Amino acid sequence: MEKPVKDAGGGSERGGGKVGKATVNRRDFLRGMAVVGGAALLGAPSDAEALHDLTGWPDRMGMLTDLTECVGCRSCESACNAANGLPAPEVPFDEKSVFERKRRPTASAYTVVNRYGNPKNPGNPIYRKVQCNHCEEPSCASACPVHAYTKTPEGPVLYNKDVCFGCRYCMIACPYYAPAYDYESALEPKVVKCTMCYGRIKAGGIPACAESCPVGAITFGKREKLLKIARNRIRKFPDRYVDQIYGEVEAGGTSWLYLSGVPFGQLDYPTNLPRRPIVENTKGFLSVVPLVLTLWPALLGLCYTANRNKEEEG
Amino acid sequence: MKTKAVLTIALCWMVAITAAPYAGTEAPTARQAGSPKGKMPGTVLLGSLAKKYGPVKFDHEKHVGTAGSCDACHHQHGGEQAPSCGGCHTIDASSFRKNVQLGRIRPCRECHSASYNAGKLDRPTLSAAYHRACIKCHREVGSVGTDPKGCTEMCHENSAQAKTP
Repeated sequence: MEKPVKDAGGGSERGGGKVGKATVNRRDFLRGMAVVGGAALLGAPSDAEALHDLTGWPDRMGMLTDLTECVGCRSCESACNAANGLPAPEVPFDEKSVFERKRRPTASAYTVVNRYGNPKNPGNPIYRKVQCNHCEEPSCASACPVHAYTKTPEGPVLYNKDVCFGCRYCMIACPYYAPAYDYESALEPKVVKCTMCYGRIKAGGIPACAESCPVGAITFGKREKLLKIARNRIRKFPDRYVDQIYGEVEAGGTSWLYLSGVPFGQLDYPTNLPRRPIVENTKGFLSVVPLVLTLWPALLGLCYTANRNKEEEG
Repeated sequence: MKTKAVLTIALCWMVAITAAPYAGTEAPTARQAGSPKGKMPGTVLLGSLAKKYGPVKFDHEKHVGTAGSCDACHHQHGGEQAPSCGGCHTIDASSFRKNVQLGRIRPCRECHSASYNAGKLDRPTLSAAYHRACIKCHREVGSVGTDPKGCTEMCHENSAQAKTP
């Protein structure tokens, strides 16, 4: 028979002991925890990486942007503005003075182009188009508490403004800082970002930016095919391109792929991203939470009840 | 804790476990954020540029002098952008010569389609091919891309200008 051990550390246990009600023996508690923990882990889903392999969607589309071709004409910005019915900008699209500072997507500009110096050819600056990269395993979708984001089989990551309540976790989660918040609207919070012209794609067309680019710097097509094309270009013109397709593996891969003539770090691309999707940091243990919350209290309660009865009899 | 309390908690969890699969609704079908009200256009012909700008008046004679060789722009044989032999010729001894008219420079539009071609993704569209051919040199000279003048002053006439006599 074991003596009830009072909890020397203080707290709620002590009160229970003094009144004469049974306390849980510390060893039994730990034993119970070990049993329950083992049971819970055994019952946990063995493959928590449910979406790690997206081969189920072989026809998902992508956009290959060749930064060596872009001339900074901003036709893509203009076309995006028209295709999405966005308000007219303060500065017109043929104004080049906007390149003097680096911009980011906003609620009224789903994509922007920034200018960078070209160390290989100072007379020809490099222009980089910035927008949502439509990740293969989007961090925004993982972070959103109300499932406002969906990764579609066609490739684009879509946002549903009807369920969004404006917490902006997605803005924090995105490694590219793509989602923009509509601060102007107080009652209808809206996060906006590029949609890869999902409506146009479904109707058999191509995204507005790709269609409008006068030099064809943006190619729209199946992601697998675009990767092959990009590798081919690097192989054929090794002096023109850096040997990297940005977006192939970054944060698990993105639908938007980039080729560049200079290292991507010089163009403000995040270069510290892991190769695995960011969601994999949390997928494992979070998938076990529902099981833990249901199983543990029940089993713990049983252990406790069993112990208490044992002590009373003894 | 009393037995009653423990049993009540256990009962609550049993209800929760049983109800969990039925709780929670599917998120409504995602509406494309930012899509304009009404119908979205499908494929849009590149002829939209013809509305925005008039045709480009290209001085071929002048460019022959500056280009140096034909394949600077007409990249059928030779040059970086030359297509593979099989791109224009059938590789068959009897038909090899007959497949392509020798001595004829193929117009750009015979290989570069005017609209998006999903089967030939690595080949620029006609508009892109034109622009790349021109900008290849005119960008080096410091014109397009860095010049604040824009499209209409450099090469294109505004469609309004084109119509005026």
